[in-house]
Amino acid sequence: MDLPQDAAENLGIIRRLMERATVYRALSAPTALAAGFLALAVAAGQIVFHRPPDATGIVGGTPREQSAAFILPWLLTLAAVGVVNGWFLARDARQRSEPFFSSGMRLAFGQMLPPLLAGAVFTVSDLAWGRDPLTTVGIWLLFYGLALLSTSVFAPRSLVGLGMAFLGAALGFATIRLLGFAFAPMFPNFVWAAWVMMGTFGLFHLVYAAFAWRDATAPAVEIT
Amino acid sequence: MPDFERLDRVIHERARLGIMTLLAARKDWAFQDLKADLKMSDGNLVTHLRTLHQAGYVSITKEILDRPQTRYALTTRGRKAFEDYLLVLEEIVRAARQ
Repeated sequence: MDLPQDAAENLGIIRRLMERATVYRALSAPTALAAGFLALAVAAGQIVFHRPPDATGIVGGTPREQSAAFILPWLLTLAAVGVVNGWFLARDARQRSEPFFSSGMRLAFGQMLPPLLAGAVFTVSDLAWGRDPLTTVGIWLLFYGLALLSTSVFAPRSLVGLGMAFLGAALGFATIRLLGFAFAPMFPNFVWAAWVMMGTFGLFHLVYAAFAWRDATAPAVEIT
Repeated sequence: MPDFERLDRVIHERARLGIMTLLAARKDWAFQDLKADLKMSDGNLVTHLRTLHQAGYVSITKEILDRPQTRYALTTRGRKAFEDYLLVLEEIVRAARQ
């Protein structure tokens, strides 16, 4: 037996198994790319096609209709991205010969569920009460950032970085509003909210996709 | 050159090394998750877990939630043995490079 070679091989197995057991990427790189481009497109559509409400509420709709006009396209985008993410995660699981609902996935989604549920409740409330779209965007940034960071113990660094970016954006955004700085009146809040979505959910995901693609994937380990 | 005899023979076997590594990575594991991650048969996994349990390295918890489930975790002694095993492996590799 070649002891040093045996020892080196065992150390390699330990390292790869540890990585596989402790690292789970809940958001795949292709999904992030799709999410980034979709977010850019939806935000651009909202900026271009937005009709500011007039005093009568006939043109552009009531605050509630404005809120729905802002939120519903994003909920559809979320649903589409969810389907895409599920498809890529299933493909990755097949390639690793793992079940779709692997222990890593259950752990990751169990951690992410509370902040995502909290964000969903606030969104429904905003939709029901017709709140300012900028408030809704602030809530989304905060809870999405918290959801990503909740997986930080076993998530790769790029995903933790994405969570930090969202949380930082949410806190910066909240600080601006708390200090009473109004967004310049050249655009209505609806359009400003779309710009913020473009700069965060659009650009952040594209940057993350680039980092996630660069990350080396661990080779499969077979124990016999 | 470090002594080969210092390597813990219970852990050094590849299948048991895999089990110990996964158990060291998280607080505890369900049997089905270990089986799926290590791609081992039920019988093979049970045999190796029994060996590790008899060595005092692994604790076994049987729960009945919606269905019976057995969970495995490293004992304090098991974690110490795993850390010692890692140190010996590193020593061997380091010595071979010099």
